[in-house]
Amino acid sequence: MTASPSTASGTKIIGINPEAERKVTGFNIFVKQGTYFDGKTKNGVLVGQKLVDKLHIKMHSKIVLTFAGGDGNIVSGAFRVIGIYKTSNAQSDLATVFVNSDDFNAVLGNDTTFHEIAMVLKDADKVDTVNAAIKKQFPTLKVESWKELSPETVTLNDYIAFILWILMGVFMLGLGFAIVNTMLMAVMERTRELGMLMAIGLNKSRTFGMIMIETISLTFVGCPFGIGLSYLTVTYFGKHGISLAAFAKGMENFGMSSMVYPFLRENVYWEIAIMVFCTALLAAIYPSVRAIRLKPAEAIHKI
Amino acid sequence: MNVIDINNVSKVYHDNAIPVPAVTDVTLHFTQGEFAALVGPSGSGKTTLLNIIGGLDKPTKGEVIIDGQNVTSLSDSKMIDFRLQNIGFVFQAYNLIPVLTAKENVEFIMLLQKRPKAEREKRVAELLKEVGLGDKMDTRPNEMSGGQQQRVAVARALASKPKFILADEPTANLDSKSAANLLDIMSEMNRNENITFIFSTHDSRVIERAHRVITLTDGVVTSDVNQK
Repeated sequence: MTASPSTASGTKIIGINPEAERKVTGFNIFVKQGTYFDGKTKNGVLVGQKLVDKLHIKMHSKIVLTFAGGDGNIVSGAFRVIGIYKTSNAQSDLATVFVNSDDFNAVLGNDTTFHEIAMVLKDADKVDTVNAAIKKQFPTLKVESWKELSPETVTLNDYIAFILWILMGVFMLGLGFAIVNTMLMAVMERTRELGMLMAIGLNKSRTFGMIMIETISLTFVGCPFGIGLSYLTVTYFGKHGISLAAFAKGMENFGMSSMVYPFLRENVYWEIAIMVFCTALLAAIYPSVRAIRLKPAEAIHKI
Repeated sequence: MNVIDINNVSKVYHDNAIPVPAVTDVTLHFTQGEFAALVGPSGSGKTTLLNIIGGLDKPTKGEVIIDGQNVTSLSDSKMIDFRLQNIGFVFQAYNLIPVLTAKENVEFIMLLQKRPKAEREKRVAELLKEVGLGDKMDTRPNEMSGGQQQRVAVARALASKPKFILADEPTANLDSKSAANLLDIMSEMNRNENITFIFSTHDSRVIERAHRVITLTDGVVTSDVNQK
């Protein structure tokens, strides 16, 4: 519990190693007022903006943190607000305060004790492998990946992936129709030319191949251009972010930031390119079949 | 020996289930070196007959034998191959591939025939020179006059070394000077290289030059006159 002179609020009190926390989570960037554990102030506490508003406190205010000690007894300690933080998760801001673990252990009368060690991997795909390895090496410890800590995030992730596949299917369908339309127009516009070519000896397989090669050539030009453009767009917004400020309030309630930083792995570009080529090839079949079904005698004299 | 034998050929089209006879019981024979014209008013069946000779259309009845081979019974794909190797075409319009140069248009046929590069280049140069366009090899069709385009079309028709050339109204879109020029070239090739030319035309300029004039009226041969 965190109490101010005017009121109190149930909170989670987290003791952190400030330097390790800075390196692993980068939490320091969320401190909007004051400092992030400068090492000078004893018993300093970081409080969320929402909690500051609730407790009617401000910078340098004195608050009392009450918590259960290791032996089950209730322990209290006076702490001073050295920093006010604000994350994109409003509920978390209301319910969590951060203190230096050394100060925390001193109040508890413990030597250095940690209940939780957080790790951030450079490669997200290695989470399960590392998880299993740590479990094996430290069987007495409770080892959980982000998937186990936040199963709702896993569900959301899977849901978004599913939706994206559907969207991709819709885009490919649209692309297919566009290609059919373009190549069909090309065949219809060149009916007399195609009739002439078939009359002088261009056989059906060559005619079919000609239309398919024209489609592939168009795709060879359009696809890299489109992928290049999307790469630049994703890279730019991946660095600068896309502001969804209009939805900020709602997104904070879900613990999501209103600034979105898109990211696409390299293999996704290749997958999209392959899908585009396959779609183009499939879409070109119908116009090619229309072309080879032309009767030269009729096509040559078509008005 | 005849190059072309047309035996009792008839062609009936169906327009909304109503039979429309285009050609009726035509029997004709052509020998090597003929310079013949199929003449008649519009709707007389001359283009239909020409298409049947060239395998672009199949007769409803009868047969066409070219150099001893009954082409009427060939499948569509075999007929295309037969045309490539044996028949040259000159159309009234849209003869040339617009994105290719004159040289590439003439070479195109030989590419389809898979002739070696050296042979193609030599023949292309010879043919374009023969039709008076040796200096237009790298010119595209849209940069040429109608007469020049038709001359390139003649060169292309000859490139495949065909047994005969079918020309459907080749002078229809040309002015008198260009038409005369084109006919001079064709006559010369007929004379010097013994190439058979069969025209479908109602151009008096062509009719005057033809050695044989076959008149069609309502799909029936009404006269067959040797003018040579």
